[in-house]
Amino acid sequence: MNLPFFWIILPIILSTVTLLIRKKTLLYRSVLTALTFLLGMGAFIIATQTPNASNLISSSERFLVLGRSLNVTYTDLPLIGTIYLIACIWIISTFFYFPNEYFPAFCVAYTAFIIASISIDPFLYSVLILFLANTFFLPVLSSGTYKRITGRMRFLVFQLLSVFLILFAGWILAGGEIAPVEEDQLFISSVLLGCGIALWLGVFPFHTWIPLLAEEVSFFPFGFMLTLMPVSGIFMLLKFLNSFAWLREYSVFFPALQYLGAVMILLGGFGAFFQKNTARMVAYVFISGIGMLLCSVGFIPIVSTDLVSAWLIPIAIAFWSISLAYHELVSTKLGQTIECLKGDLFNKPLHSILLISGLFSIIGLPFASGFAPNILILHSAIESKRSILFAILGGEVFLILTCIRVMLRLTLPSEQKLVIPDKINIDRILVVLVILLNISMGIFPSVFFGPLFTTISKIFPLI
Amino acid sequence: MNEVVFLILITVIIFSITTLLITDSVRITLVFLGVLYLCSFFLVLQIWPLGLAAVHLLTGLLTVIIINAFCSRLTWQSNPPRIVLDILMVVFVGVITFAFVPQLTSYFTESSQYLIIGFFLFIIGLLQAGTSQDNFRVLVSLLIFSLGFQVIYAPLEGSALVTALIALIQIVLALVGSRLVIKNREENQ
Repeated sequence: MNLPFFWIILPIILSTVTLLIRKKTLLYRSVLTALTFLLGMGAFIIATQTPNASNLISSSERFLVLGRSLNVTYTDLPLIGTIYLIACIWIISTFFYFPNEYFPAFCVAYTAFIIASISIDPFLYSVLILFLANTFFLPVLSSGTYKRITGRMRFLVFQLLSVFLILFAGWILAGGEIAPVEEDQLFISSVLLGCGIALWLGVFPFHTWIPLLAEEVSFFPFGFMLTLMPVSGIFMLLKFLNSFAWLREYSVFFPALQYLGAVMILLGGFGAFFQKNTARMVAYVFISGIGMLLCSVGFIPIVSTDLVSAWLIPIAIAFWSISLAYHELVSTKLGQTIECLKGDLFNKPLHSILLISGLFSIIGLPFASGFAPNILILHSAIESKRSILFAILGGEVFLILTCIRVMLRLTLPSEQKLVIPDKINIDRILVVLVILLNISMGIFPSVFFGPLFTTISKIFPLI
Repeated sequence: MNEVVFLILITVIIFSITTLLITDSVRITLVFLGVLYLCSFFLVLQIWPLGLAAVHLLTGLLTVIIINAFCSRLTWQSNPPRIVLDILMVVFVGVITFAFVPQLTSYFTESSQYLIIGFFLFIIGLLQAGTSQDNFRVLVSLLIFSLGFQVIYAPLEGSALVTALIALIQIVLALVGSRLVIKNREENQ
């Protein structure tokens, strides 16, 4: 069995083929849901069957493409399984919420591209694959209006620039795998790499494309893209760290990431609180989430990869919850102002709770999945620098204030009374399950995070 | 590369870029974009095998055809201050490139001629993409910017996979970008 073929090539082929039956909505979506579920669960099952995987990559773990290879090892499978299960939840939600006929197939293909970007060797080419995936995904993002496309064009400019900067940096660094790099080359490549990743992930001051894009595209696919894109960016960063010993020992690298992450959390919180437009507000909340991930990479010398692993699932749950709730609460209305949320707790109570639970997750409040990672990030910040701790706390305070602001709008008196429905719609089951998952991860974090800690530390053994 | 060939190529490139920036016709813009791809083909032919260089040229021409298929009906009014600014930008970037880029040869192990042409296209494309208000111009600038990168990167990396990925990116970019531009124009009319 060739692992890269099953987890990368096959999903891309099948998702493309299913586009032929896209008019048969139920069959089309069911096939893709089953595919992602099988790939997700299959990855976990196969990973448990082969506990003694060696360090050498066997022929079944390698797929050759034009002289290079895609490597999916047995160690990677739990992570790949997690990513496919996340995609599965997004596709299941399209049964009820997002009728765009291309989204489910593109969702699977995008996930496969993300996994290809994680597994390609040499890993520098991952940026090219990611850019390709993002460009392919742009028509699905643009399923709404084309009145304004400034955000989409800026997104393309920033992403393309980041691809080139990372490729340049990578080329300079390539020699560093076998021999030490000169000091000035090191500096130039670090600057190029830093700018490339900053543009890629929307790090301050290159964050402007995120709110701009949020305003003008369909929010549901946008949320999906922003769930997987930072993950791929963070894994690329971890691969750089795992491959280049000098980068791990470069004294300014980790503090720089800590500062950048902390600034993103602060900027995200601050930006979200002062927005009148809900799309922009949520986009800034997402910026905070990406900041948390970036900060976690910065704290690797203190807590290894545990913090990165701990944030992955809470971020995925939070982004899904917020995107779905936003789509249901705001996208169906005319405007995008915060006034749109007025009294929605009485109209759509479950989706209002979903939105709040998503926000709680990113803020890291008790009984939400982000609670344990938040405690860990604050604990690490205490051991690092005061300024970083204050920036993170400041960002979280503004996020809490944003949450209060949203809750106040949602609970404004409405003409409609809160009633318990006679019949429960099937889509509500998914929403309730995710809210319960979010809460249970907040109460029993070690059950969920423990295996992920082990997986990530095995994938990046040198960090 | 021969000095004379280099001079001819840089002259054609500067002329093409200037015309491309100041014209108000989609056809002329695309013709000169095609000329730029042809120039870059002659450049990469010096270091790549003919097959790989041909992929680069064919991708470029395909890109031009795709944009033409979508955007040939586009029209816009060029205004004189913008034309002056664009010409000044070409001069400014040209001077900066000729003055500073040869010093980068210590970081990029390649001939300064490739670096000069590559960085000239790279910077012009980036500046245009950043400053232009018109989405069609942004799209064309992105392609010029990408072309600049390919000229710089060609001597560094001759991998078939990278060439294939960049070619694919270029085609998808042209397809998605021109569709965005035309849909935007249709909705705003």
